[in-house]
Amino acid sequence: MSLALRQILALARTEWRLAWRGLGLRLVLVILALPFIPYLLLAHTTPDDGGLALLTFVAPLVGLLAAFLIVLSVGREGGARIAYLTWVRPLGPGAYVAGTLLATALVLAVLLAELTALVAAGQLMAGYALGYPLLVGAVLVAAPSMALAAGLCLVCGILLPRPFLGYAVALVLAVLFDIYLNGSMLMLGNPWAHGLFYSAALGFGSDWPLLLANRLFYTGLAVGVAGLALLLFARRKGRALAARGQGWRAAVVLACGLALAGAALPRFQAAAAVTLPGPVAAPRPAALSLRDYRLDLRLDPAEGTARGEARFTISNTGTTTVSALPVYLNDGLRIGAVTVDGRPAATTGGVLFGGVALVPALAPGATTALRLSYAGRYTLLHAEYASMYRGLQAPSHESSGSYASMFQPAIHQSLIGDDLAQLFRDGDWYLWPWTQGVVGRSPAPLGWRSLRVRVPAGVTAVASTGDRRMIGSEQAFSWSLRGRLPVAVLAVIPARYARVAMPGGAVYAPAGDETAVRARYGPYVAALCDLHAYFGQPRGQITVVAMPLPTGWIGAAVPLALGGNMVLAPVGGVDRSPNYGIAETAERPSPAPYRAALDDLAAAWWAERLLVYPGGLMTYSGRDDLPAGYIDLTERGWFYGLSLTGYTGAAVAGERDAPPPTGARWRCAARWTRCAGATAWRPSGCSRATGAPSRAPSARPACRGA
Amino acid sequence: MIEMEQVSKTYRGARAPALAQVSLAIPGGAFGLLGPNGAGKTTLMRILATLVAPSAGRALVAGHDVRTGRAAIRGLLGFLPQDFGFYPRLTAYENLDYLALLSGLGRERRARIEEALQAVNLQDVARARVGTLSGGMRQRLGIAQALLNHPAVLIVDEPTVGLDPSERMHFRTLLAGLAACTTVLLSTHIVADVASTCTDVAVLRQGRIVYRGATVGLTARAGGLVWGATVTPAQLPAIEQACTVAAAAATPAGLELWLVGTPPPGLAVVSLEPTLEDGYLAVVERGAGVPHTQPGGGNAAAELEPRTFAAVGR
Repeated sequence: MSLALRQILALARTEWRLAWRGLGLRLVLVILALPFIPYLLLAHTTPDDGGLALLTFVAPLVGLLAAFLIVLSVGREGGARIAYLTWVRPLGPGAYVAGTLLATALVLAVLLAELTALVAAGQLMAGYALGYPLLVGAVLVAAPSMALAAGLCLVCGILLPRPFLGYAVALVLAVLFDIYLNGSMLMLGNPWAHGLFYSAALGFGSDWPLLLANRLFYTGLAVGVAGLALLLFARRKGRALAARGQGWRAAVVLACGLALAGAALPRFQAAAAVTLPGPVAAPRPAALSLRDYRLDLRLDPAEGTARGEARFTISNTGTTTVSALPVYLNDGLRIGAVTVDGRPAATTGGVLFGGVALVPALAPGATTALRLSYAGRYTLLHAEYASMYRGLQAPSHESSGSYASMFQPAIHQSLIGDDLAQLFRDGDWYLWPWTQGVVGRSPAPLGWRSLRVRVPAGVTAVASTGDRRMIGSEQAFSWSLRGRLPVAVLAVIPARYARVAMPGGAVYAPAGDETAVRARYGPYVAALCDLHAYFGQPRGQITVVAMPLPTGWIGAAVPLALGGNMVLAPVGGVDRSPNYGIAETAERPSPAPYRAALDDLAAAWWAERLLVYPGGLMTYSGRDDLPAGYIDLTERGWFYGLSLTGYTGAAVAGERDAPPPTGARWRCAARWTRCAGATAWRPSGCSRATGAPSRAPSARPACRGA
Repeated sequence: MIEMEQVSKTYRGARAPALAQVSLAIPGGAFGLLGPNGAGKTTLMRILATLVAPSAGRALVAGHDVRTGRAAIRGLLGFLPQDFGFYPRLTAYENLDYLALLSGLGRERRARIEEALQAVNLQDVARARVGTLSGGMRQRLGIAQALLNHPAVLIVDEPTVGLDPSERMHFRTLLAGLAACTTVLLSTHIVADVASTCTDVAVLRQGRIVYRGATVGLTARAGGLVWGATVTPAQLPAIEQACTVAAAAATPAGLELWLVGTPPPGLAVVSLEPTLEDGYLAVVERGAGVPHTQPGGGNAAAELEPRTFAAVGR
């Protein structure tokens, strides 16, 4: 073994011994475990993601703690006055820096190992199977956060006149990043990647390049390493060795680190470009009307692939000839054969948007029938990070290139994952003619669309309202899209799930304690039943499917997805949302669980339709497909987590008789407490502007679960 | 083994140089370095230990220049600085093991560590954490670490500080034994350590060498300058102005003084046999400048450091 290697190992071993025997590392290990302990000890507080979100949130803070350990380690040499004994030996600066960095890496590795073990334990508690991507993902997400935090800490500590002032600045920066940039991997400057894990649950593939392309990851690593090297050299200069040249060496190390990071950046950005082509320019919508849209979609949940065929008719309602029809489709899906009035037609491809050549061009007043087939693997890349309010991604986000990092991934997406599929409403698995310029804004009256989704016979799948029948070896689900609630929802149930029957419906959730499942998910069955009754809609058996849906900070995320007789609730149910499991809603006395469920349903229903904030006044946007009803959430605070204690009312629901004047504000101050003795207000009961009810509540809805 | 030619060192911001054109040759054996605080002893040792680069001049250790042969010098050097420490949470053995690895020792280091611990009589506390050891034990551990690599050149700065008399004697014996095969440079305030260990010595004063030669030669510099007197306390200020009081003891008859220098006229004194300490005081305090002599008594100081000689030759 060479002298340098022996010295590096000796330094690393000694530093490790010192760190381990000191209080700092043990203290950090304990602090790190504290947030996970309730999840591990109390079944009712098990988070839906097994602690992954917690991991990503605490990782930067742990990085700061680790940075303190590193600084202590570096300062230790001066405190122990061993520098002269060290530097009088044939120890080169490279070996010294490498040895100390190795020790630092050991400390960070121990912290990461503990984090990963805690997350793995949380996953097991939540009923997930451990997998390589999950564990590696945990490390990959936590590591950059920690590295960046440690780097910030070190660099600030060096650059600012007083080290602790630097650490304070680094702490503030890390917390700010942690809170405000924790939602999106599409922000290449964001190392805190919650989204990675939601992809992990619902389909992992396409986000990996994003992580690799995360520029701040590499910048953080470079800054961290260079900062530590700078600190080490600075200490050498101050302590013992001949001073000349040390500053230059430190500057050279720093410059090299940054140069390497900079040189590497284009390559990783190029990797990202494979799946993230940058801002999407939405084409100008064609002035066409659309009707008789029919979609036949085949899913293979095991493969995560889809094959579809869309048929529809377009009419030129404008005054000029239209020669091309833009169509909107998920990036992972590619358009295949296209016919226009039975004749093959040429297509053009693009990011999110394709185009169909209309030959001959469609003259004003003319009508033509199109048939487009497409296939591929659904990618979450764009869909997952777009607006959470619209029920699908808002093209404006992508066309402007501004991805809302504060927003959690949208839950109103249609997702096809490794063993899980959600299909509902206007997902972009749904090839869509770009005639209005807005996806999800129906240009035609309700009821003009029909959808058929087929999955293999061996797959357990449940659907919202719709017909199910067997076609050969496939289960076929058919919907005619009409009604006030989204109706086209299909969930393919993972094998690890169990079905728990209950009055009014059933729950599919990770196998476990049935009593807990009933307590957590049962309220959704009862509440959705009441909601249907209130709107006077027919109801069938309610199905609740527990899914690893994301929930958001600061009250911004919609807690669950809703479609017809189906609820996609986050794993953990009412315990999870809206209070993140801090309070165990399922164990609270009645009617708290019911109200929580109703509140979630109301928020989901409302968020499906309007670009609004789920709280306070709602603004009616005059959307064409706005259902004749509204729900306001008058009794919840801006922060979900803070609102539970004042949970006096879940939602207010009503219907409007006629479209209000454009721009009018609708407000309702009344409340709908619970189904038993419910105070449900008809539309005339809600006045505009004042919101004062003018009519007594209607009778209790007839259908109510247990 | 050690050669210094016109070596100077001026620290940034300092008014006066810490070392001024020091030339010194130490062929081997035990060599003492004496001087008052601030004389430049520590700077000289740090230069030789390659911890501080000289501002001017040339210094060689075992033929390697301290500027260019840093790694080579560190590989054959044992160094015990005046101000040092160990990691208190590690055991004595672990500290030595760490330093032995940094010194480049491989599997043989275990034997070396045990040997060094035995040399300083610390084998019983090898597994004790350094934080639990007494100051004297830590000092001995410092000596042990300097011996780990069987150094060709051993530089020790105030090594006996904190040692009890017994350990001090033990250490002197150890150094004397090492001097048989190693060049030992011993810097100390304790003249007795030099007297009992070294045959050659240099005295530094204000960054310049004011004596370089055999210890007996230094002792001889006080010949005819050492006196004994019994005085009253009232006489003391006048005596201190005239000569250096090397020692004083209160007796029923008055203060018995050991004086170095020329006593004031009229004072009843008796001539005493000088010691090495008297020689040191005569050179440093009374400016009894004499030409430097090479080991063996040759007078070559005029050629070596004429300016130094001129500066002290009042």
